[in-house]
Amino acid sequence: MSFIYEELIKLYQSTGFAVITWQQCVMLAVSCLLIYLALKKGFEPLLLVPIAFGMLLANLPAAGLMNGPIYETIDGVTKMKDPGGLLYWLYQGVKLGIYPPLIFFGVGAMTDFAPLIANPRSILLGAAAQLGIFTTFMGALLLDKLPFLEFTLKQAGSIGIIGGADGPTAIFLTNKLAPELLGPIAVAAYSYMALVPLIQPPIMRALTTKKEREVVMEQLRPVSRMERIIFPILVTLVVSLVLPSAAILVGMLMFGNLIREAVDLQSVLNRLSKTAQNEMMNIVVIFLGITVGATANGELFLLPRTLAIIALGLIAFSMGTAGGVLFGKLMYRLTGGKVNPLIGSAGVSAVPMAARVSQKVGQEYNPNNYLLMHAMGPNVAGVIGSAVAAGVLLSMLG
Amino acid sequence: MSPIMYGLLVTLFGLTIVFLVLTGLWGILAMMKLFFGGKKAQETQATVKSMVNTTGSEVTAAAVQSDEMDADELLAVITAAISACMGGENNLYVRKITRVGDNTPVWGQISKQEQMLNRL
Repeated sequence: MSFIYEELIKLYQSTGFAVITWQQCVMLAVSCLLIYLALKKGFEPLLLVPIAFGMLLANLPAAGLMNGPIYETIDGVTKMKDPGGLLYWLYQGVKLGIYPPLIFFGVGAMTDFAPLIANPRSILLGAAAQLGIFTTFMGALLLDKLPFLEFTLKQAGSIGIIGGADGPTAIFLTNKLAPELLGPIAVAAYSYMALVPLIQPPIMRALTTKKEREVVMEQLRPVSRMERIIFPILVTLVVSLVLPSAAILVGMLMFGNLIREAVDLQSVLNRLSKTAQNEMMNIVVIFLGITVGATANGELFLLPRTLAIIALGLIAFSMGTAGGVLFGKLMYRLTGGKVNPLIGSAGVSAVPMAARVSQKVGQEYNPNNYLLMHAMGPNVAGVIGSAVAAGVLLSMLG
Repeated sequence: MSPIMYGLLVTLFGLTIVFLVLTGLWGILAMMKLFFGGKKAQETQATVKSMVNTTGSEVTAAAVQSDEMDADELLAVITAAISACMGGENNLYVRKITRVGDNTPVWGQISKQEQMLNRL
């Protein structure tokens, strides 16, 4: 009997139940909640499902999916004793900064920059909405006045970039400046991106008058094929020459866009464009999502600073929205009422969600108002703006 | 320099750089319009400028890049189809017709074909 008892004890000790910690239990519950929100409520399911499942896998006790390889040296010869977990190897794409530029490549291939080319002044709204990044950066630095909370300059820069509302940029910068915060920052960035339709409208309404919200904007001019093709090349050259640290993100974004636009000239490029938009993008999203989720290790995630990051992320999104809308109001005044300030909120990236929010709020006040294409201008400008802001932070803090 | 002071410096410098870069792009885009935007407008007007009258509708077509003889007929068919979809009696202006590349993945195309074959 004692033999059976001992074997049962051994069996129990080899299971995850014997070694699971309370932090892991909490993280497993959080990952299940995120899966529920993604599947049932439709909160960015494309990203939230891989992130949440990566979180679940990384917090399975004794599974060691994020463990690195173990080497041993015998008689002066180093051999790999254990190859490590799958997620560790997939994570190298994040660690080495490979996935975010690839995502930008796919985003470029999917994005139509014509609304921005047709209405170039809307690019300034994309700049104004970056206010959220820098105010939150300052906010994170000021938090060191509170006990238990202290963020370094690099950590504050990584938290601020949440305000860019651009997941790959946030991951890219955080990985360079403060990799220890990657989990909470990625989760906060993607969660708030999913919540854009809830966060932005109250701020947009509070900062604009009914008359401003009802402004119908002029139809955009048609954009020539030559302009569409020259645009990505020019943007890459200008941004990369001014800010070399932003070259990788902006360069890949514009490379994807060039392939998209050049299909009209060389139809053979359609193969590359389709791959960038579909198969490659989907594969990278799976790898990026699951490995970013896997960084949310319970012991490192469940700290007061995570709550602070989530609160600061909300401030970042709100300030970015406010910056865009206030600059939109300024443009409304300067143009004699030709610009609807609601399109300013789309200056935070979150393509195309933020532009859809501008359209929706605009139509609440004037059902015949179609702001979507006008809002796409600041929206795609926001992607460039947040990449430039990330480049500045990387240059000054890296 | 204290972190707060350095942070203020980064904020001021960062916002300035972001605005300068994007303002520079604005200027470049405006220049691009001057060089290539205007030319395109003339080009498109020269390529096809046809007026097709359907049931009480005035149709202007200006972007079909084809020298084929039946371009006008194609325009008329497309315009008539759009007009029919929208109920027939309306003031319809077709300003641009662009051929769109098929971006459906290959498995998507196969499943569409299967769907169609199953229904036939």
